[in-house]
Amino acid sequence: MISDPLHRLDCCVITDGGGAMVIVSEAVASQLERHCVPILGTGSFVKSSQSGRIDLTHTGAVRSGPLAFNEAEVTPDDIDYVSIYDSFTITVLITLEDLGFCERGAGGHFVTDGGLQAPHGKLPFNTDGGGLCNNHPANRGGMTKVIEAVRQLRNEANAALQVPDCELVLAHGTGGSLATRSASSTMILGRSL
Amino acid sequence: MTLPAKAAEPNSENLRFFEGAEQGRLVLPRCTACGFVIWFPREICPECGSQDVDWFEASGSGSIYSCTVTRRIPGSWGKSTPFVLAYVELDEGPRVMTNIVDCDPEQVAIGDRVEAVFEEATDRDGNPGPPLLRFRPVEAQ
Repeated sequence: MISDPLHRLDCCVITDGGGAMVIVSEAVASQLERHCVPILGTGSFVKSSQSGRIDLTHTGAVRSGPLAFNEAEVTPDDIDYVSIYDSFTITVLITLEDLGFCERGAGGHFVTDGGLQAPHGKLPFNTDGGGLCNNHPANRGGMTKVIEAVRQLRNEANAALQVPDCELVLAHGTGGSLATRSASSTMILGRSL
Repeated sequence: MTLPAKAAEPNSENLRFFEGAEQGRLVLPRCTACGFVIWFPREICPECGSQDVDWFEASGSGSIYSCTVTRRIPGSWGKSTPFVLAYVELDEGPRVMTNIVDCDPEQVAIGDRVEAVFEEATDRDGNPGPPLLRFRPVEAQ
């Protein structure tokens, strides 16, 4: 036990690592031979300390999620794959609830039947192993989330975990301490321009 | 088990809070415009923006809103495990991040009633500074 109720394996690994994204205009993308994936919707939100009345049962994803879904004009049911920042297991459960993949308080039930497993679960998740099983480069755990989401859209994920016909993905990052959750960003990407 | 206690450096905005702490009293600011009880102590209301603030002695009583028992942690706190990190909701409204002390960590739970205590604190040179606000259970455990 590290800090109740989080056991050691509820906590992400800390690793070296990094990543980069190249974002170009549609005009440039059309000139490239590499498979480019469109950003369909984004949302960011900073959750304040709520005037000293903090509510620990949600994160800023309750705002960043709807912003991204509305811009992309899709719903959680449409998403084929998710990369969700996973500093701790509870981070994933609350984010799934905040983004509308399940009801508030139902995150535990949502994941216990293996629903997050790729490639055939109801919501394949973090197929690079995520922070809990593979990587968390310093404070840049969000970067690898986007990279793996793009791999899925490009059909370049690990073959055993590649989601068939992956058309629409969501990547989500969370910042700030476990007890404050001060920042959230959501991005929805599609397979083709 | 005594926890590390780093002394704060009071400024003109929160001096009344620390003067109260020296006397073992929880003194908080309250907005005279909208009545909001302000945490952390400062002379501006985060709700309405008014800078018209009164200071009053709060009850020092509250309930545990959330808590965890920290069992592994690097640095100086590592010698003090297990200890309780908590948010306490004061009866006046604010939720304060703090430690629960004078307790059996295994017995502390959400909803438990607690009361303010002020513990000796020292600056980085080891000199005494303003006491640190923490909480302890009200009922015997």
